Amino acid sequence: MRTILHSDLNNFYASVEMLKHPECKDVPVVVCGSKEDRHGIVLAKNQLAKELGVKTGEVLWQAEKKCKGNLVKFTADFPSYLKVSSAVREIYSRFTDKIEPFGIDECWLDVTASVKYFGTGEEIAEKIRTAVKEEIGVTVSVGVSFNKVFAKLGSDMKKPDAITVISPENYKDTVWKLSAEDLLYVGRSTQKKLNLLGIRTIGDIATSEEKILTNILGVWGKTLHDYANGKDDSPVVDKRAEEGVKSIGNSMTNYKDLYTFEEVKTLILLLSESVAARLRESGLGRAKTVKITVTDNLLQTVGKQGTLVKPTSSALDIAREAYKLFDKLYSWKNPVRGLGVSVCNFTMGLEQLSFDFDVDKESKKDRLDGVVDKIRKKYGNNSVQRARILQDKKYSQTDIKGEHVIAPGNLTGGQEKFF
Amino acid sequence: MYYEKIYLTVIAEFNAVGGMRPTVITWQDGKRYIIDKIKVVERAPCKSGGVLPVRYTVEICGQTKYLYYERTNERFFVEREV
Repeated sequence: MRTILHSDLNNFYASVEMLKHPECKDVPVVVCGSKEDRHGIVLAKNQLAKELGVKTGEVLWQAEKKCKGNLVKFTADFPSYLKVSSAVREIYSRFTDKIEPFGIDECWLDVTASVKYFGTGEEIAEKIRTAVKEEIGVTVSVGVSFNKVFAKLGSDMKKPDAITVISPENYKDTVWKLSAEDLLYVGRSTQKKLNLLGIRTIGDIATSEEKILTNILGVWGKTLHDYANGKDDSPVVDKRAEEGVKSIGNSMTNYKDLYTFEEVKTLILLLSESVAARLRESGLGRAKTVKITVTDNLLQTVGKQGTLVKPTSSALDIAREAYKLFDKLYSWKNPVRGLGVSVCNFTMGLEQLSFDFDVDKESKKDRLDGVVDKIRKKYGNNSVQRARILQDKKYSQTDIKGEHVIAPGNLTGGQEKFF
Repeated sequence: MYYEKIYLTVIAEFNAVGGMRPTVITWQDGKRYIIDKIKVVERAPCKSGGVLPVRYTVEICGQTKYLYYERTNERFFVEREV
């Protein structure tokens, strides 16, 4: 039997801000994006703000209202969060080399081979909890179990600064009582479908007939049935080390809500420019797949991906595919607040030429991209811009590539749903 | 209970095999104190605010004190209760 830990840094961004500003330990604190650029939504909150009902993803004025003007706000400082995150991972690496990050603040650890050196899973979890608290000054919740899914559930059960053990003996009493939506990968739409069948808890999923679940959820039905019964044998792997970079993407919460396809196209183009430039820099060749995510003003995120006829590293090709995907995906029930564009499935320099491949045209496009890249490298990312981007003053001043915009995982619960 | 930082001028020794040892601190009034012993060097949070400082537990004139090193600005500080 494996021993898997899932370690979750509690209220991570807010905790780092408290490290920097200990004088704020007795007041509600939130971390948000910059208010002027309309990223003024709550990215994280401390325990006191949580107790007052402040929620991640809500707009600042809502949070301020709940805290009756007593709220302290900090603008997100990603470089510090990354520093703390890697220091915490260094602590994990004292106990195992099998570490799989899930966002900036969560990691799975496979300590199966470490138990003979450092004690049981629970003892290792305790050592990690103490070390993170004493050396870094932030707290973690650790779930200890025999698979990844239950370990993650465990880390959510007791917070903050706590350890929860889910064993083959106790999982029916502990996990099965939880709501179905607590299970990994059960999003809002899956939950609705399950509720229609009267399936409300993880126990209900586990005891349902697998066939019923596959009828409504397809292959996911079987996966969720297995997960609920503790049958998850997915390994803990550091995906970055094993497979290298899997995708390159940028996302952005816009400074104003978007109401028309034309406005969306401009933002997609802006993001595609940065993604294409980063792709060309990466040496991964061209990309075969384009992915978009769209967040509306109610902070509901949807995504879609499509395969290109010809692999590309050009911004325009990526943008054109993204326009198509957006058109198919988005129903315009609500205005758009945020967009993300990413590419994956890289050729790694090995390319299959198609019969209609116009080599001259392609090499001319590559040369043009190469020249633009050189100019940008020498004179700055915004030195050459597309006319479409110049129409919007804010966009023309935004340097996505330079700023390296990070999409906070917890904005969407760390789980984007693709369909 | 709040703490403030007092940044100090420090003379340090850089070892040929790597690592830095503070050897003398200069207090605010200009007086110099020799660090008699470095007991522990570890990463530990401070009370006055900061991300990932290095804490030196040092012995100065028979007293054990914490001396922190702030990597971002490359300077040393001690803490005082206010």
